[in-house]
Amino acid sequence: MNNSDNKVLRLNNFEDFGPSRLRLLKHIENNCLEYLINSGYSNVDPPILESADLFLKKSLGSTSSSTYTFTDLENQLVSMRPDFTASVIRLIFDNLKKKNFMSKVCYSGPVFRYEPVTSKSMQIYQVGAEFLGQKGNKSDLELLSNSIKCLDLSGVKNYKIDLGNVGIVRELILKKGFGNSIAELVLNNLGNFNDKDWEKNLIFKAKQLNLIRLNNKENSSLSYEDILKDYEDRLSLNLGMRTQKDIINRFAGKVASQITMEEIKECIDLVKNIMNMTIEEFLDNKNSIKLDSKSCQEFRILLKNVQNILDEKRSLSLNFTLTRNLAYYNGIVFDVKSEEGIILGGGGRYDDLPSRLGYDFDQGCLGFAINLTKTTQVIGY
Amino acid sequence: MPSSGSLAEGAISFMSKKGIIIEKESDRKLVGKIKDFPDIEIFFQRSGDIPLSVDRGMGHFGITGLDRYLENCEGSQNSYVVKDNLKFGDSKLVVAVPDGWIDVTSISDLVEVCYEFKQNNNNLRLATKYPNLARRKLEEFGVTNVVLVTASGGLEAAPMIGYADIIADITVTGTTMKENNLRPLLDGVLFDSQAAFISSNFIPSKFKKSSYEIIKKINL
Repeated sequence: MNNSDNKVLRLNNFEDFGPSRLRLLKHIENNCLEYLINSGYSNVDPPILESADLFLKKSLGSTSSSTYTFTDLENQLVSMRPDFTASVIRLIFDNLKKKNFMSKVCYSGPVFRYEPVTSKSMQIYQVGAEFLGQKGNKSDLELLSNSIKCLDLSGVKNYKIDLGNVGIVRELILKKGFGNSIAELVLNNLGNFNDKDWEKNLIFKAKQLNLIRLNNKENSSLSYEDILKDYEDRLSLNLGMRTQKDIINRFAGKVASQITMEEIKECIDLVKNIMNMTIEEFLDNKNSIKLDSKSCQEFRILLKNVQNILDEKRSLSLNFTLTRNLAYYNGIVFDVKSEEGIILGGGGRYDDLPSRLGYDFDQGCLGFAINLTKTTQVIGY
Repeated sequence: MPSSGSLAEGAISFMSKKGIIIEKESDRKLVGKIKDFPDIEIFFQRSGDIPLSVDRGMGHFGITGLDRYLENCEGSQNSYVVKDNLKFGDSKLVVAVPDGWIDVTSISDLVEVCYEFKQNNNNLRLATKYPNLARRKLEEFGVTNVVLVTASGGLEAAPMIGYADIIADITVTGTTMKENNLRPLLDGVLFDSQAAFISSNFIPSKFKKSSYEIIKKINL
């Protein structure tokens, strides 16, 4: 932006790094990479610019308004990476074609995000890792240990880890018989769970989305054939990627899937019960809601193991409200925060991401990244 | 100011009602003046180009659709909306689905269809000229798993051609959508827009007096 004196100024929200901050950043970056490489990770460096489709597919579009996307000189729609994950996964599978599968990779460099309202820096330096090929507790713990070690190497004295599990929350809601729409609505709104009007707003949204049946009567059912006959003309139009069968089945199920006001309140009580749970309560499992599924038991073992790694300067909290980017997390999620509550990094499990990006792979995928821009700010330079 | 279309006519009439008389030598001329304000020049541009012209400081004031401004400049520190309801240039950004999707009548249905696509390892694709506005509004409704396909025209054909499944477009009557077998959702109005008067945050001090006078007249 040119000001009235016609001086060309630095773009809003981008930061200059002077010598002392850059020295600190490079020091942390090198320490972390050295540790990760010694732990069996291969260091890679994908390009900053990638096909826009890669990031859209990764986040199912949920970050598209914060991603710098434009048409390049060859008329291709390209994006500046908003994070490394999608690029690194692409890189891993591109290498697989050359018969060189890397299951663990680490990276470092800048990512770009547009955040107009919060005035946050738009160019963020990260160091991080991706871990492919394992599901379950062991790899979750390895990833968390790696990120804790990197934080320690960075020189941040006191920090806390918020650990949640999107998969467990979803599983509980679905197991109680609430449908996917209710589960998606609740999960999408967990970020505001601590707001005073959370419950009221959730019910308002459920009503707005027609998820609540306004009377308590039984729903009538419709047969497949009846629907096909009644809507023959419209069902013969272009349906895009959906099939006639998908549409009719959903139409028939839709009438029966709405829940009553009592049921949504029951769901809210269930969610509140889980969200307010302390780590001790979850480990003891003496809450009125028994959390006995395999994933809950595995998560308990993970929490105990992480507690063993940490000392009192680095506390661990159970935080089921943590969802990060719901579009692709399906298991553990974690944030690492400074004493002042500044998020220094985070990560989690996203097993479905490779298949979403078009790769035939279903053997587990997880990763973490540390925000070096914030870390250097917290340490001071 | 907008160079053509209903927004252009509305803008001149609005200014005139506020006592700001636009002087333009001919319809084809793309520069003009304001009577009694010799230090103000008017540039006539496509309404879609006006938000960024003002935001980048190439112009100091502008009249454009609020939708266009928010799409390009929401949250910008370089410009702001002086008045967002100039009482002309009404339009709605509406989500529409193929009419054959008989099971989809509301945004809540879209949430589920997104999930259906996700389970099949596909992405629900929405074509729009307003990706930022559509994204923000859809997120408010809880629809997060949508891939936005930015297109500049002929959106109604997108599902038929196959580059998107649904659309979010500006409509007044919905006729074009209907003719292309698309149906707006019952609660699918993402944004209600009118023409807006916008201003740069960086008006040189030598124009302060004139700009103060203009804003005073606009707000009357």
